[in-house]
Amino acid sequence: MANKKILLNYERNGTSHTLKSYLSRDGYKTLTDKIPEQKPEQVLDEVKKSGIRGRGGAGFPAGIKWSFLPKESDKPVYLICNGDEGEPGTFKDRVILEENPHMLIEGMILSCYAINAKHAYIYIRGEYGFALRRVQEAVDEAYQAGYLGKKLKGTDYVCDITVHKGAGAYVVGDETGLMNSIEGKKGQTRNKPPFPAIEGLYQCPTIINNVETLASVPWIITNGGDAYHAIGTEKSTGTKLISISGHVCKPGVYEVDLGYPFMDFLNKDCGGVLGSRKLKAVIPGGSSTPVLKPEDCKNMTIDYESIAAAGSSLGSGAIIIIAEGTCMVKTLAVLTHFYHHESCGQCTPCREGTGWLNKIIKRIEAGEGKMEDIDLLTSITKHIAFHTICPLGDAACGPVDSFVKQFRDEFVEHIEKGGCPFGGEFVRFQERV
Amino acid sequence: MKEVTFTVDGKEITVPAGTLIIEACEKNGIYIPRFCYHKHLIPSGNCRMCLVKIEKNPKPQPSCMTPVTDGMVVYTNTPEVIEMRKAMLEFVLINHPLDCPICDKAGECMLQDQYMEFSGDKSRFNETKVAKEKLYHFSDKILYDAERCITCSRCVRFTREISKTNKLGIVERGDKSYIALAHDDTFDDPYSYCVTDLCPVGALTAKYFRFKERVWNLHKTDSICAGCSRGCNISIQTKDNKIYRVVPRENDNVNKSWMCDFARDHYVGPMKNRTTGVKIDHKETSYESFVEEMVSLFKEHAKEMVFILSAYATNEELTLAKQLADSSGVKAIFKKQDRVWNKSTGEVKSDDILIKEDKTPNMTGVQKTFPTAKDMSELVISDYKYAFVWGPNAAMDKLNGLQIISLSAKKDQVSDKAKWAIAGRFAAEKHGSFTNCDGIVQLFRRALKGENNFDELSFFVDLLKGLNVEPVGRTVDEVRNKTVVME
Repeated sequence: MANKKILLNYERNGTSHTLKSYLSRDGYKTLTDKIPEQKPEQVLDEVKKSGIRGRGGAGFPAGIKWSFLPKESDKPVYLICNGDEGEPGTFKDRVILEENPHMLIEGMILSCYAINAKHAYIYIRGEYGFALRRVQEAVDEAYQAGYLGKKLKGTDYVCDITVHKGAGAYVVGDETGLMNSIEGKKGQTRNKPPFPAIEGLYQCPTIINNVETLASVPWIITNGGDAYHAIGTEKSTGTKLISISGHVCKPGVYEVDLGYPFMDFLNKDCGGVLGSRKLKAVIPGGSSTPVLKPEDCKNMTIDYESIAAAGSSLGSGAIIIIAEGTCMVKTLAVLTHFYHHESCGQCTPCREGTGWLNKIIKRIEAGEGKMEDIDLLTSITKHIAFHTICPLGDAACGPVDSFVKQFRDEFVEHIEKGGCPFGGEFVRFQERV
Repeated sequence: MKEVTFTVDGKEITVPAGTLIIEACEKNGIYIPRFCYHKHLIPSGNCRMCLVKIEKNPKPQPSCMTPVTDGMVVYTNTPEVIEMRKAMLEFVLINHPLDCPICDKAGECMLQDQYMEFSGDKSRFNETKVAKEKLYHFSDKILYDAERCITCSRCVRFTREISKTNKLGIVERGDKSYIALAHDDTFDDPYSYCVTDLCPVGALTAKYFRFKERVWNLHKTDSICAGCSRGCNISIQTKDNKIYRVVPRENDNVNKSWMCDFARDHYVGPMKNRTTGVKIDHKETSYESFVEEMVSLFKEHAKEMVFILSAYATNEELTLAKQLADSSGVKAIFKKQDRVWNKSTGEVKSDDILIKEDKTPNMTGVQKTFPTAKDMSELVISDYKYAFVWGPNAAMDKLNGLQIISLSAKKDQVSDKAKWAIAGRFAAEKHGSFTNCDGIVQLFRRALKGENNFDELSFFVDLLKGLNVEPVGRTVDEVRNKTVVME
């Protein structure tokens, strides 16, 4: 089955990021040809019809999110493109930002037009220096060519885009945290409600979408929402960028139609597990999604429903392949270290709990664990998950709960043996001060 | 105002629309534990201690952030909520140093109290605690212990919302986060001590009170600050007739939960420059003979006497003074500012928060009792022979050539030069009431024993008796009950 190329519709020759290359691919044609005859409501309708779901991780339908904006408000509306791609294992937005930024800009102009936003922000994480330069260059080119800052052809509509550099915090990937960061505040999330569509950036109605979601908009408007809906499955429409990493022969970013069989993807497209080892575990949607065993993945297809049925989540589409011979306790220690390090410290359960989890798991890995520690882990996660302001708490608990559930025997082995059965010398993760 | 009805723990409650769950519950006798929520700060919802279960809501919600809506069904005592509270206390406590035996907050610590009330469980934490800065000098007044801190952000929000100095912020992330000042800055804020009251644990402490006394040993007296005409509600905390500290009392109409640093520093420590005993011609004499001489003075020379009022006087004393002036025939009545702003002390002249430019507590009471009293600057001494000067800070150059009677707690030029001098009491040493700048009459109780067995009130009572006039009342309460209108 050939997967459709919507987002990666270019040859990777090092020039795809330029305006010239994008125009040669019929870029900005939607703006110049379609917009003069389409009203904002029609654009919004097409996006709704397409059924595209938010690609950042939560999978909320984008068109429905847009329609939450208050109908009558004298405040300006903002659009934010969330390019704070922080979930471990996720690097798909980076490809769009670095290699196809004009498609994102066109998508943002169209989206702004649909929701009547005059000003949009692209928030890019601080670690993406190269992507940031590429996007800034592309925005400058778009201003020079008159797509930004000037009236769109056939309308009175003017759109501006500001590129904003983040300072490096996982929690800013949450929409309200990102807004605080743009406002110049500490990157900590806000309590919801109010939701961003009512009171977001600068207390104004705000729509925030992932890079991939917004970059898909030009194709949807050009070809129609129905055409997009025809790709993928009934409830998971369109294509999805998958960033696959770990013990896999050909790691990288792939564009697949949703509903694509997982095992085909792993073995055919990505060349199978590295070193012909057996598959031990799969983290299917970024580090915060529950880990799956190979038998759960056998008949799984890459779409929201199938992965949910298998007991995990498509998340941001970041598949991490773990091969036989890997110590799962150590893997979990790495993951919990990340969440401990990234906890913003605003609310109690996550601030204190993530560190506690990490300390216990490191102790088990070092062979100093006790049997009651295993149950202690799950009893801690029970009180972190869904008790925090933002989903970081839930994210930190997903892997802990699933690792303990799926690989409990390995934890027991560590404790009984008084050390790591994989012989791996325990590496103490240096805490950055 | 629109009202909404909701159910909490099976009980139907009606409150004004927009009331937060935590407030609605508290008004109806259900206390929801909290750390970061404070009545006079904008809620931040970060301690997660006040989580409650709301029907039809899959996640527990912070009751300090959620306004009540019509028909809402809230549970604050289900096993799930109880377990949640225990878990939050456990989280707060895992990195808390548990140094209660040497912590000044012990005894009034919200963490201690709420742990005792809502948990009491043993710790399951077997790891190393996070080590942080123990002695962070915010200023020469405030010390911060980052290990005790539970980053509830009350202090940060106070400097942003109330004192508006924006001095404090939270730096670092996760369990390493702590409260900090900007680099090379000091916590220079006229209300900085308020953060020590706000701090739910012992992270922020006032240096003047550190290791001085356990809070449960202190005797707490409700009083009114005499530092300016705002009349902040305070609690004077004493032991062995010595003031150890002063903290604000809550009063939504006057000072919310705040008071200024200047007044606190002023109350604590020995009283300077006080007058003592009874003197005639600079010689100690008995109270009885003093009263006798005063009575004859009022009988024979009332017309030649200037009566200068004190704005430190209580309403009850003023009532008797009025009776004295009326019955003896003193006509020339003047008022004065007993204390004026002095830049050199570092005191704030006035601000939009609490501090008023009028640095006396009861000018409103003086004006109400003696509506015709003129300002002392209008005094022309050539018409008079005697001056009855009540309270400190009368302009001496205005009184030259007059024979002075001084009634004052504070020693100054006038009390030194007076022919007749009797010691008064400071506000902390007597009962009474002050009328603040907004006309609110506020009672206060005596926190310290006075040195003498007489005070202003008993002195006026004795004078009236000597003049064969029945005083309105013989005690503070008697006078007040008959005259002062409480609002």
